[in-house]
Amino acid sequence: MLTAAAPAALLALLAIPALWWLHRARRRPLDVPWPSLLLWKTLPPPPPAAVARHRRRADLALALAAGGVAALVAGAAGLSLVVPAPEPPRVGVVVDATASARGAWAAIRGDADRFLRGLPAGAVVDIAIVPGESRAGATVGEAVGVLDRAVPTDAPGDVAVAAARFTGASRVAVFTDRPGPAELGIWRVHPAGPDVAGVAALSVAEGRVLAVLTRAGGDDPVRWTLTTRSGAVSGSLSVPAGRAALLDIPAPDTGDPFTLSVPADAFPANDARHWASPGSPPTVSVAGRDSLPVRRALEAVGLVPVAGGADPRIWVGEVPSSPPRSPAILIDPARGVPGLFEFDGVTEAPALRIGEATDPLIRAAAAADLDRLTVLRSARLRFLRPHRTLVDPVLFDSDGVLVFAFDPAPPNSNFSRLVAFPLLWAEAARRLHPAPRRTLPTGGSISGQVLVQSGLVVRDGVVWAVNIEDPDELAPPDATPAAPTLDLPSRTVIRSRSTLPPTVAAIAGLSLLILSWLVSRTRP
Amino acid sequence: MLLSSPELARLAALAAARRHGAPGAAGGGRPGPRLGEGGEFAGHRGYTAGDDPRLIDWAAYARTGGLHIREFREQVEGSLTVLLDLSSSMAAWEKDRTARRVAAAAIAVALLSGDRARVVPFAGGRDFEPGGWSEPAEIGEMDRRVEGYPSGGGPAAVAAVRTLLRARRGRILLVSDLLDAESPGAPLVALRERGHAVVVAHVLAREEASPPRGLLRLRDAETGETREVLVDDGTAVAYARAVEEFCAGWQARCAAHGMRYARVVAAAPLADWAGTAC
Repeated sequence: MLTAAAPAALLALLAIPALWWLHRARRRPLDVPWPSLLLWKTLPPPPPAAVARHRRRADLALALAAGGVAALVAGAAGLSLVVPAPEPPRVGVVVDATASARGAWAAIRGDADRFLRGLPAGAVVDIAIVPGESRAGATVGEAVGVLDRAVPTDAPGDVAVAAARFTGASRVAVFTDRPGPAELGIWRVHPAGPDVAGVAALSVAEGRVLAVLTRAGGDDPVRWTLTTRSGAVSGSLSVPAGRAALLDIPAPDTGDPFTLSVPADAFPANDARHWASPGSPPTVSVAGRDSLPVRRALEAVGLVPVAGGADPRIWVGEVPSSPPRSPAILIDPARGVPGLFEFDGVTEAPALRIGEATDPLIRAAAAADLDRLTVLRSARLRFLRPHRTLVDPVLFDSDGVLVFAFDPAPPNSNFSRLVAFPLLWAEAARRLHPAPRRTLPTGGSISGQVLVQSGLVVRDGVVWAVNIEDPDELAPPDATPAAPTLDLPSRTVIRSRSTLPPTVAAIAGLSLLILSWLVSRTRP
Repeated sequence: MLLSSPELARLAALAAARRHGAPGAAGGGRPGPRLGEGGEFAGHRGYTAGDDPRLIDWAAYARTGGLHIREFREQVEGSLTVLLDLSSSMAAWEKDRTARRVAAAAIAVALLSGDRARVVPFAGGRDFEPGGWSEPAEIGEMDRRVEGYPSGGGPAAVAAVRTLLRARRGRILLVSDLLDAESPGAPLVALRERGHAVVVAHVLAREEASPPRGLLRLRDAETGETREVLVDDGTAVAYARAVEEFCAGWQARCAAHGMRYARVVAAAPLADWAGTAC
């Protein structure tokens, strides 16, 4: 797929038809009035081979000139060619070997074995025995070997977590005897801080924080700090100048929001916060009036409201007299559909009011009014046995706001961030067309007409990096910063982008034009 | 104006030199440049093989015992007729203007030498009013007349030359590029045999021998006929050689029949051709 940073420059391609028109004239004999043909008749007529040679030379000159123009235009337009790499079918296989599956182990194993042997010979298999051995990028034979060695154990294991690792797979097959999904739940994407330029991308998966750090210059390792309420951990990562590197560290286990920071001298803006969702519903302290819609909304998004507390996270129906110590949400149930107010950390400024009913999840949860939302798309992962939907995240659209919903019940609890997040970001990228050549932060929230956060997305095996926090990102930027190269494992990055550097394009284009001129100037 | 004042002064000097019999003078009514069988007796020379036996001076043989040939200086009438080619082939590269300048210069020399002169323009499909003059004072009017003739038309050199076959003996100057399919060579020889002094001013442009390179469709300026040619280096050389051979052929033919041949390069200054063409 071709993309252009400056599509207007493509108008210069109109020069090629003009060249072709001139070429037609050049290919035809040039009409020349001559005083008399008397003496020409004494010469033999030109051999047809020589005429053909002359025309071939004119054709070559046209081809070179057209190539030169195309190269110059490509350079001026900043054309990029995105080529999906050929990829063999990739299948994720999760086999439940927990103690609870022991009774059905023969059936589970038999189904998995038949499934594996039925795969195409070139298939790439990511297989996980839960709990037990796992292997990525295996051949069918190797996966069968892993399955053969598997035995049920009493060790703890989470089939959903294992399946979530395979969201890049074209197909995920989970072999278990667990029951099917519970009732529909709604996942809320929390707002995060606005200043995330230093950390190019941030996500949490499988208990790991995955962040893409970039730096403009310098050779020293980048110091990073992961801050949670309970404390902070630090480390360093070597990031080549002008490039990006993947930071992979254990995620804090609190389920609370955390901030990943890098030194201010390395980046103009230096932190990214991720509001993680825990695997099990956390408690949240609520102050103010007791509101049934709010309580239902919080419960629907997996939060257990607890009245009071030293540091209430949610204020219902009133604004705190002093700024809360940590980000808090203020809900005004008097508006029928809750409005949102947000404090950000230590600000002394009045509460920032976000427009009424901008939180579709609260609205949806409070009113159970999903009919007002437009279903955009659903994506499903299924158990092969039993034949039930494991996770069915659904994307909704409401007034330009993206919403997704899914079944939060175990064993799906981690699919919120591992499946639905990517789906959300992929949809955001598809709908909002972020500017090309940007590697962008991650996080997550939605507000009004603009998604106010961004994310690192793996969907259909394609790594997406999306920034939708800055509305300016939605318009072609005047000065696009250099795109950092994402140093992800090679098997993760399955699409490549090839951009013709403007200097190379200019040199190539001018060379071709000069060559064309020389060819056209060459006398027969 | 075809001729500037300095050029007229130069032509006046040329006419004066001819009145005094300077070498190369070709004034009308005066001994011509060719020794032959008619006209004023010029002297004897020894007989050589190939001489016409009728020219042997038998009286001298009786006196001296040796064979001698009588030589005469040719006498032509004191008039000049200029046949001026204004066909379409003359239109390119200033050939037309150069031909008019040659004609005007030759007439001016004749008038300054005390002779009469006239111009007979020709071009296929056109009728021209010939002009005639007898006084030097008419040079200005002659210049305007010659310059004002319209250009363009098909080949007509043969017909123009033939109109003079019955004219009184005199000097005839043909100004043309001679690029007619039907060559005027034979009628010119016929004129010469009738005692006319014939001068051929062959006007060609340098560009004529140096065609552009590439695939060309040449269109004959007079007939409209086209011919596709691919002019490479070899073709260009061959064509230049053909032009040279064409000129050399005319030069040899003129020499063989006692006619003077003057090659005039288009746009060349008067000094380059006045001595030979006028």
